[in-house]
Amino acid sequence: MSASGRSKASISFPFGGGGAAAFVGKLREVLIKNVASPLGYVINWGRLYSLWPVHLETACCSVELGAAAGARWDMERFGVLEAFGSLRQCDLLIVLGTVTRKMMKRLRVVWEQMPEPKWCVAVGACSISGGLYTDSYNVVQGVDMEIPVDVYVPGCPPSPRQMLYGILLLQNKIVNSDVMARPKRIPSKSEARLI
Amino acid sequence: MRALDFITGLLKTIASGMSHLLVRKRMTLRYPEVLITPAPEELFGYKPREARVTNGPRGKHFVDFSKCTGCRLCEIMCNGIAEAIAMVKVEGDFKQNKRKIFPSVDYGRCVFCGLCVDACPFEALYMTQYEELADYDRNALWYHAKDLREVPKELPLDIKPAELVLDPKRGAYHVPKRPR
Repeated sequence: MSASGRSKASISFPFGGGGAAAFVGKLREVLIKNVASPLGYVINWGRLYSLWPVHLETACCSVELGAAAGARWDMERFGVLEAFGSLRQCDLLIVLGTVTRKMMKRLRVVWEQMPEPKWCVAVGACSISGGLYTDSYNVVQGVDMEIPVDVYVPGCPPSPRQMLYGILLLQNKIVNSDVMARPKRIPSKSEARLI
Repeated sequence: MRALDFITGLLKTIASGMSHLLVRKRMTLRYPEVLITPAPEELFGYKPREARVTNGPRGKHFVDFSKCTGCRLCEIMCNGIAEAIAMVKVEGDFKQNKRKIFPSVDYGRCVFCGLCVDACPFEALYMTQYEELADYDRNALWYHAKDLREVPKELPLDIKPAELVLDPKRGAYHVPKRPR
Protein backbone atom coordinates (compact mmCIF):
# COMPACT_ATOMS: atom_id res chain seq x y z
CA MET A 1 0.00 0.00 0.00
CA SER A 2 1.80 3.17 -1.13
CA ALA A 3 1.68 5.95 1.37
CA SER A 4 0.88 8.62 -1.20
CA GLY A 5 -2.09 7.32 -3.12
CA ARG A 6 -0.67 8.10 -6.51
CA SER A 7 -0.19 4.72 -8.16
CA LYS A 8 -2.71 1.96 -8.70
CA ALA A 9 -0.17 -0.83 -8.73
CA SER A 10 -0.72 -3.45 -6.08
CA ILE A 11 2.97 -4.16 -5.91
CA SER A 12 4.64 -1.80 -3.50
CA PHE A 13 8.18 -0.75 -4.15
CA PRO A 14 10.37 -0.08 -1.21
CA PHE A 15 12.39 2.47 -3.10
CA GLY A 16 9.43 4.47 -4.39
CA GLY A 17 9.57 6.01 -7.84
CA GLY A 18 6.17 6.83 -9.29
CA GLY A 19 7.23 6.02 -12.83
CA ALA A 20 8.46 2.52 -12.15
CA ALA A 21 5.43 1.51 -10.11
CA ALA A 22 3.00 2.84 -12.69
CA PHE A 23 4.84 1.06 -15.49
CA VAL A 24 4.80 -2.26 -13.69
CA GLY A 25 1.12 -1.82 -12.93
CA LYS A 26 0.34 -1.19 -16.56
CA LEU A 27 2.52 -4.06 -17.66
CA ARG A 28 0.67 -6.33 -15.27
CA GLU A 29 -2.67 -5.30 -16.72
CA VAL A 30 -1.49 -5.80 -20.27
CA LEU A 31 -0.09 -9.22 -19.48
CA ILE A 32 -3.26 -10.31 -17.69
CA LYS A 33 -5.43 -9.19 -20.54
CA ASN A 34 -3.41 -10.59 -23.40
CA VAL A 35 -1.62 -13.61 -22.00
CA ALA A 36 -3.10 -14.82 -18.74
CA SER A 37 -6.78 -14.53 -19.63
CA PRO A 38 -6.62 -16.33 -22.96
CA LEU A 39 -4.29 -18.90 -21.44
CA GLY A 40 -6.67 -19.34 -18.55
CA TYR A 41 -9.51 -19.74 -21.02
CA VAL A 42 -7.64 -22.45 -22.88
CA ILE A 43 -6.79 -24.27 -19.67
CA ASN A 44 -10.40 -24.13 -18.51
CA TRP A 45 -11.58 -25.33 -21.89
CA GLY A 46 -9.34 -28.35 -21.59
CA ARG A 47 -10.60 -29.07 -18.10
CA LEU A 48 -14.29 -28.76 -18.71
CA TYR A 49 -14.49 -31.08 -21.67
CA SER A 50 -12.79 -33.96 -19.93
CA LEU A 51 -14.32 -34.37 -16.51
CA TRP A 52 -13.66 -37.90 -15.37
CA PRO A 53 -15.82 -39.11 -12.49
CA VAL A 54 -14.87 -41.39 -9.66
CA HIS A 55 -16.87 -44.59 -9.48
CA LEU A 56 -18.41 -43.88 -6.12
CA GLU A 57 -21.93 -45.23 -6.04
CA THR A 58 -23.58 -45.44 -2.69
CA ALA A 59 -27.26 -46.03 -3.45
CA CYS A 60 -30.02 -45.91 -6.05
CA CYS A 61 -28.99 -42.77 -7.93
CA SER A 62 -26.07 -44.69 -9.38
CA VAL A 63 -28.43 -46.64 -11.63
CA GLU A 64 -29.46 -43.40 -13.26
CA LEU A 65 -25.81 -42.53 -13.78
CA GLY A 66 -25.44 -45.87 -15.53
CA ALA A 67 -28.41 -44.95 -17.71
CA ALA A 68 -26.87 -41.59 -18.42
CA ALA A 69 -23.74 -43.34 -19.64
CA GLY A 70 -25.75 -45.60 -21.92
CA ALA A 71 -26.54 -45.23 -25.57
CA ARG A 72 -29.62 -43.09 -25.39
CA TRP A 73 -28.43 -40.37 -23.06
CA ASP A 74 -24.78 -40.38 -23.81
CA MET A 75 -22.53 -38.79 -21.23
CA GLU A 76 -19.42 -39.36 -23.30
CA ARG A 77 -20.43 -36.60 -25.68
CA PHE A 78 -19.74 -34.16 -22.88
CA GLY A 79 -16.38 -35.68 -22.10
CA VAL A 80 -17.49 -37.51 -18.98
CA LEU A 81 -15.89 -40.90 -19.55
CA GLU A 82 -15.75 -43.80 -17.18
CA ALA A 83 -12.33 -44.91 -18.24
CA PHE A 84 -9.53 -44.42 -15.81
CA GLY A 85 -7.21 -46.41 -13.62
CA SER A 86 -7.62 -45.06 -10.13
CA LEU A 87 -9.18 -42.18 -8.34
CA ARG A 88 -5.96 -40.23 -8.40
CA GLN A 89 -6.58 -39.61 -12.07
CA CYS A 90 -10.10 -38.23 -11.74
CA ASP A 91 -11.35 -34.73 -11.31
CA LEU A 92 -15.03 -35.10 -10.67
CA LEU A 93 -16.71 -36.64 -7.67
CA ILE A 94 -20.36 -37.39 -8.26
CA VAL A 95 -21.98 -38.20 -4.95
CA LEU A 96 -24.79 -40.62 -5.66
CA GLY A 97 -27.14 -41.74 -2.99
CA THR A 98 -27.56 -41.66 0.73
CA VAL A 99 -24.40 -41.08 2.71
CA THR A 100 -24.31 -42.51 6.20
CA ARG A 101 -21.94 -41.41 8.91
CA LYS A 102 -19.87 -44.53 8.43
CA MET A 103 -19.47 -43.81 4.73
CA MET A 104 -18.87 -40.09 5.22
CA LYS A 105 -15.41 -40.71 6.70
CA ARG A 106 -14.45 -42.79 3.69
CA LEU A 107 -15.97 -40.27 1.30
CA ARG A 108 -13.88 -37.55 2.88
CA VAL A 109 -10.78 -39.70 2.41
CA VAL A 110 -11.66 -40.21 -1.25
CA TRP A 111 -12.16 -36.48 -1.73
CA GLU A 112 -8.82 -35.69 -0.19
CA GLN A 113 -7.04 -38.24 -2.31
CA MET A 114 -8.19 -36.63 -5.53
CA PRO A 115 -5.68 -34.13 -6.87
CA GLU A 116 -6.58 -30.55 -7.65
CA PRO A 117 -8.44 -29.26 -9.65
CA LYS A 118 -11.52 -31.12 -8.62
CA TRP A 119 -15.24 -30.53 -8.53
CA CYS A 120 -18.15 -32.17 -6.80
CA VAL A 121 -21.71 -32.70 -7.94
CA ALA A 122 -24.33 -33.74 -5.39
CA VAL A 123 -26.95 -35.86 -7.11
CA GLY A 124 -30.25 -36.78 -5.57
CA ALA A 125 -32.21 -35.56 -2.60
CA CYS A 126 -30.23 -37.71 -0.17
CA SER A 127 -26.90 -36.07 -0.86
CA ILE A 128 -28.30 -32.55 -0.98
CA SER A 129 -30.14 -32.60 2.29
CA GLY A 130 -30.67 -36.08 3.63
CA GLY A 131 -33.74 -36.49 1.43
CA LEU A 132 -36.14 -39.18 2.45
CA TYR A 133 -33.99 -40.15 5.41
CA THR A 134 -33.70 -36.73 6.96
CA ASP A 135 -34.80 -37.87 10.39
CA SER A 136 -32.44 -40.80 10.62
CA TYR A 137 -29.82 -40.98 13.31
CA ASN A 138 -27.16 -42.25 10.97
CA VAL A 139 -27.60 -40.26 7.78
CA VAL A 140 -25.55 -37.16 7.06
CA GLN A 141 -28.01 -34.41 6.21
CA GLY A 142 -26.34 -33.10 3.13
CA VAL A 143 -22.91 -33.95 1.86
CA ASP A 144 -21.93 -30.28 1.81
CA MET A 145 -21.24 -30.45 5.51
CA GLU A 146 -17.87 -31.98 4.74
CA ILE A 147 -17.25 -31.59 1.02
CA PRO A 148 -17.55 -28.35 -0.97
CA VAL A 149 -20.24 -28.99 -3.56
CA ASP A 150 -20.41 -27.12 -6.85
CA VAL A 151 -23.70 -28.20 -8.40
CA TYR A 152 -26.80 -29.65 -6.76
CA VAL A 153 -29.05 -31.84 -8.90
CA PRO A 154 -32.41 -32.52 -7.23
CA GLY A 155 -34.53 -35.57 -7.87
CA CYS A 156 -35.20 -38.98 -6.46
CA PRO A 157 -33.53 -40.28 -8.51
CA PRO A 158 -32.98 -37.54 -11.06
CA SER A 159 -33.49 -38.71 -14.61
CA PRO A 160 -30.44 -38.76 -16.88
CA ARG A 161 -31.79 -35.62 -18.49
CA GLN A 162 -31.43 -33.74 -15.21
CA MET A 163 -27.98 -35.14 -14.60
CA LEU A 164 -26.83 -33.96 -17.99
CA TYR A 165 -28.26 -30.55 -17.27
CA GLY A 166 -26.28 -30.53 -14.04
CA ILE A 167 -23.11 -31.38 -15.93
CA LEU A 168 -23.81 -28.59 -18.38
CA LEU A 169 -24.18 -26.18 -15.47
CA LEU A 170 -20.87 -27.36 -14.07
CA GLN A 171 -19.20 -26.79 -17.41
CA ASN A 172 -20.64 -23.31 -17.47
CA LYS A 173 -19.19 -22.67 -14.03
CA ILE A 174 -15.74 -23.90 -15.02
CA VAL A 175 -15.60 -21.71 -18.11
CA ASN A 176 -16.17 -18.66 -15.97
CA SER A 177 -13.86 -19.63 -13.16
CA ASP A 178 -10.45 -18.24 -12.30
CA VAL A 179 -7.62 -20.59 -13.10
CA MET A 180 -5.38 -19.39 -10.32
CA ALA A 181 -8.01 -19.37 -7.58
CA ARG A 182 -7.28 -21.12 -4.33
CA PRO A 183 -9.53 -24.12 -3.73
CA LYS A 184 -12.16 -24.03 -1.02
CA ARG A 185 -11.45 -26.22 1.90
CA ILE A 186 -13.81 -27.36 4.62
CA PRO A 187 -12.02 -28.69 7.69
CA SER A 188 -13.14 -32.19 8.51
CA LYS A 189 -14.60 -33.00 11.90
CA SER A 190 -11.39 -34.46 13.24
CA GLU A 191 -9.55 -31.27 12.35
CA ALA A 192 -12.32 -29.13 13.73
CA ARG A 193 -11.78 -30.67 17.12
CA LEU A 194 -8.19 -29.60 17.09
CA ILE A 195 -8.86 -25.99 16.13
CA MET B 1 -22.73 -79.59 -37.62
CA ARG B 2 -22.13 -77.77 -34.41
CA ALA B 3 -18.91 -76.37 -35.71
CA LEU B 4 -20.75 -75.08 -38.77
CA ASP B 5 -23.43 -73.46 -36.61
CA PHE B 6 -20.76 -71.86 -34.53
CA ILE B 7 -19.00 -70.43 -37.57
CA THR B 8 -22.18 -69.12 -39.19
CA GLY B 9 -23.29 -67.60 -35.90
CA LEU B 10 -19.95 -65.88 -35.56
CA LEU B 11 -20.10 -64.53 -39.09
CA LYS B 12 -23.65 -63.25 -38.56
CA THR B 13 -22.61 -61.38 -35.44
CA ILE B 14 -19.65 -59.82 -37.17
CA ALA B 15 -21.82 -58.87 -40.15
CA SER B 16 -24.45 -57.20 -37.97
CA GLY B 17 -21.74 -55.27 -36.17
CA MET B 18 -20.11 -54.24 -39.44
CA SER B 19 -23.41 -52.99 -40.83
CA HIS B 20 -23.16 -50.15 -38.34
CA LEU B 21 -20.17 -48.93 -40.29
CA LEU B 22 -22.11 -48.75 -43.53
CA VAL B 23 -25.58 -47.65 -42.47
CA ARG B 24 -25.76 -44.86 -39.94
CA LYS B 25 -27.86 -46.12 -37.05
CA ARG B 26 -28.09 -43.68 -34.25
CA MET B 27 -29.78 -44.14 -30.95
CA THR B 28 -28.51 -41.19 -29.00
CA LEU B 29 -30.87 -38.44 -28.03
CA ARG B 30 -28.80 -35.33 -28.53
CA TYR B 31 -30.03 -33.80 -25.33
CA PRO B 32 -29.39 -30.08 -25.28
CA GLU B 33 -30.71 -29.78 -28.79
CA VAL B 34 -33.63 -32.19 -28.80
CA LEU B 35 -35.79 -33.75 -26.14
CA ILE B 36 -38.71 -36.13 -26.31
CA THR B 37 -41.58 -34.24 -24.77
CA PRO B 38 -45.08 -35.53 -24.37
CA ALA B 39 -47.86 -33.02 -24.81
CA PRO B 40 -47.46 -30.13 -22.39
CA GLU B 41 -51.09 -30.39 -21.37
CA GLU B 42 -50.39 -33.68 -19.66
CA LEU B 43 -49.75 -32.78 -16.07
CA PHE B 44 -49.50 -35.44 -13.42
CA GLY B 45 -52.74 -34.88 -11.56
CA TYR B 46 -55.42 -36.67 -9.66
CA LYS B 47 -59.07 -35.89 -10.22
CA PRO B 48 -61.06 -37.56 -7.46
CA ARG B 49 -64.46 -36.65 -8.82
CA GLU B 50 -63.83 -38.31 -12.14
CA ALA B 51 -61.75 -41.05 -10.49
CA ARG B 52 -58.93 -40.45 -12.93
CA VAL B 53 -55.21 -40.07 -12.70
CA THR B 54 -53.40 -38.41 -15.55
CA ASN B 55 -49.98 -39.87 -15.73
CA GLY B 56 -46.75 -38.32 -16.73
CA PRO B 57 -43.20 -37.86 -15.51
CA ARG B 58 -43.17 -35.95 -12.27
CA GLY B 59 -41.20 -32.76 -12.14
CA LYS B 60 -41.69 -29.23 -10.93
CA HIS B 61 -44.96 -28.46 -9.20
CA PHE B 62 -47.72 -26.18 -10.41
CA VAL B 63 -50.00 -24.47 -7.90
CA ASP B 64 -53.34 -23.23 -9.13
CA PHE B 65 -53.87 -20.00 -7.24
CA SER B 66 -57.54 -19.87 -8.08
CA LYS B 67 -58.26 -23.20 -6.40
CA CYS B 68 -55.89 -23.56 -3.45
CA THR B 69 -57.63 -22.79 -0.15
CA GLY B 70 -54.66 -23.08 2.16
CA CYS B 71 -55.90 -26.22 3.90
CA ARG B 72 -52.30 -27.46 4.37
CA LEU B 73 -53.06 -31.04 3.51
CA CYS B 74 -50.11 -31.17 1.13
CA GLU B 75 -47.81 -29.98 3.88
CA ILE B 76 -49.22 -32.47 6.35
CA MET B 77 -48.77 -35.29 3.84
CA CYS B 78 -45.22 -34.32 3.09
CA ASN B 79 -44.25 -34.01 6.75
CA GLY B 80 -44.38 -37.75 7.02
CA ILE B 81 -42.27 -38.30 3.93
CA ALA B 82 -39.64 -35.72 3.18
CA GLU B 83 -40.68 -32.41 4.78
CA ALA B 84 -40.30 -30.49 1.57
CA ILE B 85 -43.45 -28.35 1.57
CA ALA B 86 -43.87 -25.28 3.69
CA MET B 87 -46.75 -22.84 3.52
CA VAL B 88 -45.94 -19.21 2.82
CA LYS B 89 -47.98 -16.08 2.94
CA VAL B 90 -48.63 -14.43 -0.40
CA GLU B 91 -49.82 -10.89 -0.91
CA GLY B 92 -53.01 -10.49 -2.84
CA ASP B 93 -56.71 -10.98 -2.70
CA PHE B 94 -57.93 -14.55 -3.01
CA LYS B 95 -61.59 -15.27 -2.51
CA GLN B 96 -61.16 -18.88 -1.54
CA ASN B 97 -58.05 -18.48 0.57
CA LYS B 98 -58.71 -16.34 3.61
CA ARG B 99 -55.41 -17.01 5.31
CA LYS B 100 -53.53 -16.28 2.07
CA ILE B 101 -51.15 -19.19 2.44
CA PHE B 102 -49.86 -21.28 -0.44
CA PRO B 103 -47.39 -24.16 -0.67
CA SER B 104 -43.75 -23.63 -1.41
CA VAL B 105 -41.47 -26.55 -2.23
CA ASP B 106 -37.87 -27.22 -1.28
CA TYR B 107 -36.45 -29.28 -4.11
CA GLY B 108 -33.42 -30.21 -2.06
CA ARG B 109 -35.70 -32.44 -0.05
CA CYS B 110 -38.50 -33.29 -2.47
CA VAL B 111 -38.54 -36.91 -3.59
CA PHE B 112 -41.11 -36.35 -6.36
CA CYS B 113 -43.45 -39.01 -5.07
CA GLY B 114 -46.64 -37.17 -6.06
CA LEU B 115 -48.50 -37.85 -2.84
CA CYS B 116 -49.03 -34.15 -2.22
CA VAL B 117 -50.88 -34.05 -5.55
CA ASP B 118 -53.07 -36.93 -4.39
CA ALA B 119 -53.71 -35.30 -1.04
CA CYS B 120 -55.08 -32.06 -2.41
CA PRO B 121 -58.89 -32.21 -2.30
CA PHE B 122 -59.35 -29.17 -4.53
CA GLU B 123 -57.21 -30.30 -7.51
CA ALA B 124 -55.00 -27.29 -7.04
CA LEU B 125 -51.62 -29.00 -7.14
CA TYR B 126 -50.11 -30.70 -10.19
CA MET B 127 -46.70 -31.76 -11.32
CA THR B 128 -45.40 -30.68 -14.69
CA GLN B 129 -42.69 -32.34 -16.73
CA TYR B 130 -40.20 -29.56 -16.31
CA GLU B 131 -37.18 -31.19 -14.73
CA GLU B 132 -34.34 -28.75 -15.21
CA LEU B 133 -34.04 -27.77 -11.59
CA ALA B 134 -30.32 -28.09 -10.86
CA ASP B 135 -28.53 -25.15 -9.30
CA TYR B 136 -25.24 -23.97 -7.82
CA ASP B 137 -26.66 -23.04 -4.46
CA ARG B 138 -28.62 -25.19 -2.07
CA ASN B 139 -30.79 -22.31 -0.87
CA ALA B 140 -31.87 -21.47 -4.39
CA LEU B 141 -33.62 -24.81 -4.63
CA TRP B 142 -36.35 -23.53 -2.34
CA TYR B 143 -39.08 -22.32 -4.69
CA HIS B 144 -41.55 -19.80 -3.32
CA ALA B 145 -45.21 -20.20 -4.20
CA LYS B 146 -44.98 -17.36 -6.71
CA ASP B 147 -42.40 -19.32 -8.71
CA LEU B 148 -44.75 -22.29 -8.89
CA ARG B 149 -47.60 -20.24 -10.21
CA GLU B 150 -47.05 -20.84 -13.90
CA VAL B 151 -46.45 -23.91 -15.98
CA PRO B 152 -43.13 -23.33 -17.67
CA LYS B 153 -43.80 -23.08 -21.36
CA GLU B 154 -40.28 -22.86 -22.65
CA LEU B 155 -37.47 -25.25 -21.99
CA PRO B 156 -34.07 -23.81 -21.15
CA LEU B 157 -30.98 -24.17 -23.31
CA ASP B 158 -33.00 -23.85 -26.55
CA ILE B 159 -34.17 -27.42 -26.37
CA LYS B 160 -36.34 -28.44 -29.28
CA PRO B 161 -39.03 -31.08 -28.80
CA ALA B 162 -38.56 -34.28 -30.74
CA GLU B 163 -40.29 -37.57 -31.33
CA LEU B 164 -38.98 -41.08 -31.57
CA VAL B 165 -39.10 -42.96 -34.87
CA LEU B 166 -38.33 -46.68 -35.02
CA ASP B 167 -36.95 -47.86 -38.31
CA PRO B 168 -35.94 -51.52 -38.75
CA LYS B 169 -32.97 -50.54 -40.88
CA ARG B 170 -31.78 -47.38 -39.29
CA GLY B 171 -32.61 -48.16 -35.72
CA ALA B 172 -34.21 -45.66 -33.38
CA TYR B 173 -33.66 -42.04 -34.19
CA HIS B 174 -35.15 -38.77 -33.13
CA VAL B 175 -36.86 -36.31 -35.40
CA PRO B 176 -37.54 -32.75 -34.32
CA LYS B 177 -41.25 -32.23 -33.92
CA ARG B 178 -42.99 -30.00 -36.34
CA PRO B 179 -44.65 -27.01 -34.64
CA ARG B 180 -48.40 -27.35 -34.74
